[in-house]
This record gives sequence, C-alpha cells and structure tokens, in this order.
Amino acid sequence: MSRFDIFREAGNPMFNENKLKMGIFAPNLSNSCTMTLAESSFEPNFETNVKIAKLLEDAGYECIVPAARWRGFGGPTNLHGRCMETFTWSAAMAAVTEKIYLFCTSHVPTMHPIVAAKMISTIDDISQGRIGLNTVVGWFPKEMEMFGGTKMEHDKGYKYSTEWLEIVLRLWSEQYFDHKGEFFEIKDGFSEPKPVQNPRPVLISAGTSPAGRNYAARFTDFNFGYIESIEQASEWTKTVRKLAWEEYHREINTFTSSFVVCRPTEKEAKEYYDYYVREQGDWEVAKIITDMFGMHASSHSKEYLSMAQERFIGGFNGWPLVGTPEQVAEGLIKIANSGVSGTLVTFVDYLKEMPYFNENVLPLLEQAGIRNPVAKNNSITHKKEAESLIGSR
Amino acid sequence: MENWILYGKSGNPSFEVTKAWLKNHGIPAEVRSVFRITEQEIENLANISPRGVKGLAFPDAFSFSLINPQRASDQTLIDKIQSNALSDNEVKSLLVENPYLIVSPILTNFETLIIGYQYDVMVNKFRFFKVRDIQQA
Ligand SMILES: Cc1cc2nc3c(=O)[nH]c(=O)nc-3n(C[C@H](O)[C@H](O)[C@H](O)COP(=O)(O)O)c2cc1C
Repeated sequence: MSRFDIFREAGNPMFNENKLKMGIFAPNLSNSCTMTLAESSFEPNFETNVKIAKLLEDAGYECIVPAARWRGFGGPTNLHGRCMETFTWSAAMAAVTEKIYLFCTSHVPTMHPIVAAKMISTIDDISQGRIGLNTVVGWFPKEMEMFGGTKMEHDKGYKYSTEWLEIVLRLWSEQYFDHKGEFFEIKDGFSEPKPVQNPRPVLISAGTSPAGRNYAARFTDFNFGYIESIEQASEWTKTVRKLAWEEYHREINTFTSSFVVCRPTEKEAKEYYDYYVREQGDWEVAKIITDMFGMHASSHSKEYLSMAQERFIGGFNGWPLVGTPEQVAEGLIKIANSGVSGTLVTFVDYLKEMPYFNENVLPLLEQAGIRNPVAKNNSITHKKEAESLIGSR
Repeated sequence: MENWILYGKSGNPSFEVTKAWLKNHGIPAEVRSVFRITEQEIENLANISPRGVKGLAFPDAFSFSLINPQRASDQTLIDKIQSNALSDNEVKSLLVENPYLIVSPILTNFETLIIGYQYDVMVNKFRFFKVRDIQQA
C-alpha cells in the first residue's frame, strides 16, 4: 500500500475524497494574512481561534495551517507582531476540536528535533491523530537574528532542515539510535510516545526555491505555494510530482492559499476590496515585504509592483477570489481542476465573513462535485454561538 | 518493522518485568500466553534454542516449582526432560500437551531467543529498532 493509501485508509481528512480540500491560513497571528488597518473583529487569541475552528468543523473544512512568526514586520500594523506560538496553539486547539486536521510550524533553527518530535507525538495523542508538521527554514532576517545573531544562509538552511527532519523521522519510528551529522550528534536517541497516526503526521513544506522544492519532494506530503495563474498552478503541480517521483520515488500533492472577499454583488465585493486594500492597506509593510522578496522598483514597473503589493495586502500573496458567491466558486473550481489538491482561504474578518462564504459558496462547490456535502449534526448550536458572537461586536 | 513475540504466564515475575521493560522502552512486542503456544511455534523455537527443545523447558524441578507451586507432582516431568531420558520428539510432545512446562518468559523474533528477563541482552539487542515503517512512497 502506498503512503497516500495508508493516510486515506486511516481516515486522514487531508486525503479524503474531496477534490478540493480547504483550510484556513494564519488565524494565530495579528492581521492573519491581510496587511490592512481596516476594522475587523479578528483577534489572534485562543477564544477567537476556537470560534473560527467550530465554524470550520461544521462546514467540513479539512485543516488549519497556522504561521510561525517571532516578531512583527513593521509598518503601522506591525504585521504579525502578535503571534501565538504554533505548537502550544495546536495542542490547545486539539483539545477543543474533533475533526479538523491541525498543523504546527517549526522554524527548524529555533528548536531541537528531539523536542519537536516529542511535542508532535504529544499533540498527536491529544488530537487523536490530527496533527501535521510544517517545517520552515526562516526567511525573515530580523526574526531569525533574534536566535543567535545570524539568519542561516538559504541553501544551508535546507541542508540543516534535511538533517533535522531525518532525525525527527527516526525518533518517530525507531528506538535507541546514534546519529552523527553535520549539525547534530545524537547518542542513543530515544523518544516516547510515538505518533499515534498512520503512517505518521502529515508533513508539509512551502519551499519554492530549487533547494526548497527538492526538500519538499524528498520528505513531505504537500508542497504549499502561492500561484500566479491557473496554468502555472497546473505546471507547478506536474513539476513537483515529477521531481518527487523521479528523484525519490515518492508521491506528493500541492496546496495553495487564496484570499476571499465574497459579497452578494460584485460591486459590494469590489468596494470592500478597495476599502481594505487600497484605502486602508498598510502599504509601508507591503513594501518592506516585497523588498525582502527582491521585488524592487528598479527591476519592475510601477504597475507590476503595485499589483504585487495589492496581492500581499489582500492576502499575503494568496490567489484573489473577489466577487459574488458564483464568481468565488468559479475561482475555486478552477483551482481544483488545475490539479492542486486544495487551498487555504483567508478573510479580513473570519467570524463575520466566513459564515456567508460557507453558506453561499460551499453548496456551489458541492453542486460542482468538487466537495461532498457535510453531515450536519451539531452545526446549529455552533452557528448560533458564532452568530451571537458576531452580533455582540 | 520487526515482529517480536513475548511468551509468558501471568504471575511470573520475570515475564511481568520483561513485558514492562519492553513497554517502557517503546519496543512493541506481541504478548502471547504460553498456554496457547502451538506445536509449530515450539518447533520453530527449538530450532534456534542452543539446547534444542529441552532448552525450552524449565531447567530444573526447583525453578519449575517456584513458578508453578500448585503443580508439585509435575516436577518429575522436568527431571525426566532434563535427565536426557527422552527423545527430542518425546520432549516436544510433552511440551505441546503441558505448555506450563515451558520456561518463561521467552522473547523472540524467531531468529533470536531471549529466555528469562535479561536486562543487558535486551539493552544491547534493542538498538536501531524499527518501531514502524514511515517512509513509503
Ligand atoms: C502556505 C505557506 C505557509 C508558510 N508559512 C511560513 C511560516 O509560518 N513561517 C515562515 O517563516 N515562512 C513560512 N512560509 C514561507 C516558506 O517556508 C518558504 O520560505 C517560502 O515559500 C520561500 O521558499 P524557499 O524557502 O524555498 O525560498 C510559508 C509559505 C507558504 C506558501
């Protein structure tokens, strides 16, 4: 049986029958994925995250991917300045959710693999097999410099990550081993408990560089990434699958992230987009970030830069889904048909905007056959909880 | 992944301690009652036992009586087995019919045989031990 078959047989939501898997991204940090000063009830605290998770479970979403960030990026929003640490976040979320698959994100240079492996196994027990791991090397110099003064050079970071993850995998599957590598020495390595889920927690990585892609292909189940067009999404999926199969004889899927502004009319959707992106956008932090990604005014036209910055402000470079329920659904169906396994969706205000999206867009995805309807059991109580919360703000 | 089996009899302290050692060191082993051992299993174990099938029985009447105090009359069977009065086949038949004559615990993967609670042997044996296979395609 292949690794994916084992996940499927174990009932892992990331491998269910839905052609388009859905999750949300970054509910654990300030501003989530938007760079805006627009008003929002969103708070990166536990209470809000639990309410969001209930909405997701009721609507049948597959996963939540939090982001790991150790300091803000600057600008008036100091984007992501407040961030709930993701291992402790997922442990707590695991205890109050039932179905949704949770991820935690480790900046590998900040944590010893023995600690990480044990924390994941512990959360796997708490969640009864619903925790996955996103390994990141760290690309934001100022945050990585807090840990020892220098950010690891990019490709060295992936070498470090490779050794780090190999150790985690051994800790999950072996007892009493020795390891001596370039970065770690482990004498008589041991870890208990082991993860409960089969074959192991889902591994994801958003590597996009050649070293990052190679790492994803070698170890992970999903390569996450932003898409530039539907054609490029399709091409990316084919390329990374080919790489994983030819180099490592492994299967791999892709998964992306989108931002949603869904309103009854296109005009309302566009007006809200204009409000939070063009009027209230934190253009200062958008510039800080696009500069870090090497998008400089010297090498790009003003129009291109401003379009790129809008995508960052709108949803941290996510795929834009702005319009009526029909238009948003159409965008999602295109993603599904590109071969990408799923998308995270982000909103300015999850608790206010997601119920409308869930009620009006998800049924269209079911009609289109890319998602199965959810068995409604206790959804009514949760919906009431969410409504009363929204009403009170 | 390796399959290890621990044969034992409840109430036998060495069996209980070996079982605890395995659990607490994260080494999965299937625990089977020695009373349910099959003829084939006895043959397989005899093939890897340095003293053959006799090595699977209690080594002397006294050690047998410590674990099976309520079966005093059967001590003579142990004497018979260990005095070389019986052929290997006869010993095997005796063990099949009266599995309580089999010493326990027996920890095995049908390549290695560990009889009794042997701390140092286990510490050395269970290194680089694959608990599960997580690297499939
Ligand atoms: C969905 C998604 C989630 C990510 N989460 C984080 C994160 O939490 N922390 C982080 O420092 N980087 C995060 N990244 C950045 C990636 O780990 C990676 O560094 C980036 O995509 C560039 O690829 P490269 O490292 O191969 O150059 C994320 C990227 C994506 C697409």
